[in-house]
Amino acid sequence: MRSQSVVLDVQNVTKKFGLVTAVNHVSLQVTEGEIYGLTGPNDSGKTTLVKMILGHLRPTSGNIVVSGYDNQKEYADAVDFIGATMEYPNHYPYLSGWQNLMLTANMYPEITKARVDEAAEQVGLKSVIHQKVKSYSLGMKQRLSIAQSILKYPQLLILDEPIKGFDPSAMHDFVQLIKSIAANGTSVLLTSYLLGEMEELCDRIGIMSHGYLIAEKATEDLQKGDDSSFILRVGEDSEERAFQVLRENQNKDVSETYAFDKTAECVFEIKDCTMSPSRLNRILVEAGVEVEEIRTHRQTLEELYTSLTGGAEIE
Amino acid sequence: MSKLFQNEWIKLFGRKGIKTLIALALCTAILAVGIQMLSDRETKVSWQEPYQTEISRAEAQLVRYPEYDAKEWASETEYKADVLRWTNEIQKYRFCLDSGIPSWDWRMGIVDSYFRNLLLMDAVRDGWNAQDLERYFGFPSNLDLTEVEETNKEWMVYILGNDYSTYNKEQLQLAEEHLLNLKESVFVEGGDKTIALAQADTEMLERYVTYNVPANAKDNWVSVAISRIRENQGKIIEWTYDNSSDPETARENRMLMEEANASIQKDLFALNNNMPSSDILKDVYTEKTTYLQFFDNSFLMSASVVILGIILAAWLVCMEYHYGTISTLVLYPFKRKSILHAKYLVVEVTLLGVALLECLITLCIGKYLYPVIGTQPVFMTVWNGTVYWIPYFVAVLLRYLAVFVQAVIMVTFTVMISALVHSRSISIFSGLFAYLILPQIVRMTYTYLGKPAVLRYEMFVNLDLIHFANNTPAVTFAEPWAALLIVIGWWFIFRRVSYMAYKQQEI
Repeated sequence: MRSQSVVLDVQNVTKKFGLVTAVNHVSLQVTEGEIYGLTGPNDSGKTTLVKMILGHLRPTSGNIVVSGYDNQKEYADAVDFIGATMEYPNHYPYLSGWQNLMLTANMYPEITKARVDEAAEQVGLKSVIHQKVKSYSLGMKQRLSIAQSILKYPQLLILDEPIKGFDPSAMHDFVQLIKSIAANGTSVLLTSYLLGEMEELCDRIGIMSHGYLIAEKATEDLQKGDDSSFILRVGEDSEERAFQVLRENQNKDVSETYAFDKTAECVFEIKDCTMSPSRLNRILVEAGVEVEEIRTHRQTLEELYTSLTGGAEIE
Repeated sequence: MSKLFQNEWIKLFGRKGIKTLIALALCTAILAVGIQMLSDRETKVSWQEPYQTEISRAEAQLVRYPEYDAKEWASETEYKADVLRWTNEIQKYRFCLDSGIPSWDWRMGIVDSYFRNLLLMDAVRDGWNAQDLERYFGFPSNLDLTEVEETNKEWMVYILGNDYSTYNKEQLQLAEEHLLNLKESVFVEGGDKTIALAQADTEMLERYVTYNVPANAKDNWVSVAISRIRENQGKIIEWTYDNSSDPETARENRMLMEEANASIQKDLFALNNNMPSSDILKDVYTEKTTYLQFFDNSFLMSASVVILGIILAAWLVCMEYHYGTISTLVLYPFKRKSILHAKYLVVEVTLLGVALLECLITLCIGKYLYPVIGTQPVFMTVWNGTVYWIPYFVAVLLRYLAVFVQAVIMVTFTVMISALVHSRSISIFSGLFAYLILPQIVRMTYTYLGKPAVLRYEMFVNLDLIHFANNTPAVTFAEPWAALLIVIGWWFIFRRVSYMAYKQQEI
């Protein structure tokens, strides 16, 4: 997080469709310049939440505040700060990419033709911008949507599944583009099923399931890892000895405890360890165990996701 | 708002199909010329042709039935009556052809009477008795043949001399005498009504004498105006003496009388100011298609403006849902009402342009192909007992503006449906149904199902604004001011519902 100024404040929001609760008491905040990723299985409520933020749907209860404006009571003011791309790119196919961008540019006096050119170039569509949108591929349409949403330098950029149809090169460009936009102070809320890219791109990630926001984690924390968890790898001949030593020393001293699991051949996961890695190493070496590696355990987003959702299929 | 308007304009005219549709709507003005030409080919024939047809028909009958045939006729006398009629018709039409008397000539009425008398004299010469003459030809039994012959001689002088001036004076004198007799009589069959009708006849003949025009000449506008005045006076007298107890009939009679009175006022104004109204000129017989006839026919094509409006409105609203662009559209910093308002405005401006262009094209074609011969027509209307007039081309323009207003109402209806259902085809179908079919259903229901009162102010019949422009409300049972208020009311409701539907919608 680069700043504490809250751009998007979702306050205890619920959305019901008849008897079905699509979003259930969700609260989240996105601060200035932050890239917030939202992921979750099918029908977890991500798109419904995005639609409520955009004002397309009215929350059954709760409030959504964008840059200090309630998006129900002061809708026009609230949406003025938002740029958005929806799950399926929506354009007038009989108009050119340029005309589609100009339709948005016309709405904001501050957007010049030079800015339209710049946005087209930023998303890599400059060479085809005067072609009719009906001739574009899905990836090109996605990029046009992104260009449209960043035209006015929004304070909050909402991207609902923006990387569908991107090839690896376009994906790389996209990551760089969003990072540069965020570096200029724009907050980004994006939903995606590509966990690897989310982890690379986002500052914070929220996981939704069955309408609930079940976890929120800073990617910095994911990358930094957990100081009380280690991965231990030993030589092939020391596996049994290592197991024995670990078991013997477990709960031996009240002030130095740990739990362990054997997760793979020659690999142990040491959890809730109050002992320093160097002391653990010394105990093992003194007992004749050939220690090949001791490192802090870093949980990947995928592992976190799987542990929380039971590996449910994601969109 | 202007930016929203600009965007909607780009969306509408960026589509090739829409431009083609507008071009087609403009072409309907040209199509009207083709329809007019086809119509002329069917209806406009030389004045001699109908006479020749009648002669051929009568001659064919004489050839086909040279003798009495018991299978075809009930009696030989009936057969002889038909032979006399056919022979008389051949004589009459040959006489007209030889003397150059077309059907619209003022003498045609005298020619008819002359040959009817001739038929009587021929029958008497053939030995027909009074009873058969009355039975087969309707001649009264107390006719004096010498008097009939004298009358025919006098009529032939008028026919050959074409002296309508003397004829009018003589007819006026006879009418005045007849009126005086009626007024002085102790008992008059028909009472005051008969006297009022005789009074109207006398006034008509006075006008023929005053303006010195042939009586009942269908090709002379002054004569036509005088005949129309008499005709309307006759209607007013009939309705005045109609003692119907049915309040609905009495109400309709009152409205029809107001219309007839307005017509009389306009015709008198035209006569006094030597300014023929378009109404009168439409009743004047001409061999060639006139400027006015062309405009009347081409005006039928103006329905294309309304139909175009329905299609454009449905497309402009529903395509946002079809392409999914509605989700981006509502993110612009404008109220949804303003977005819909911009759509309304773009369609309305387009329709106004199309209506004016259609009018201009029609006026230009009319001026080039059907030039005004003689007096320039004017359009007249009556308001609070005063006659107002405007040049006819201004009236044509106003009629197209009335079409535009009609289109605006149907656009509002279609947008309302589009905002509710988001389906282009359902919206277009609903709009066309409301414009083209529903009024007919309501009219038929009103006529055939005992005039249910609930339909009196039925909206779609009263949305038929063209009839306001023509000063002839389509439905005599609805007061024009009430109908107009209802039109405005419906327009307001359609507009409100469409804004509400658009505003409240979740996407």
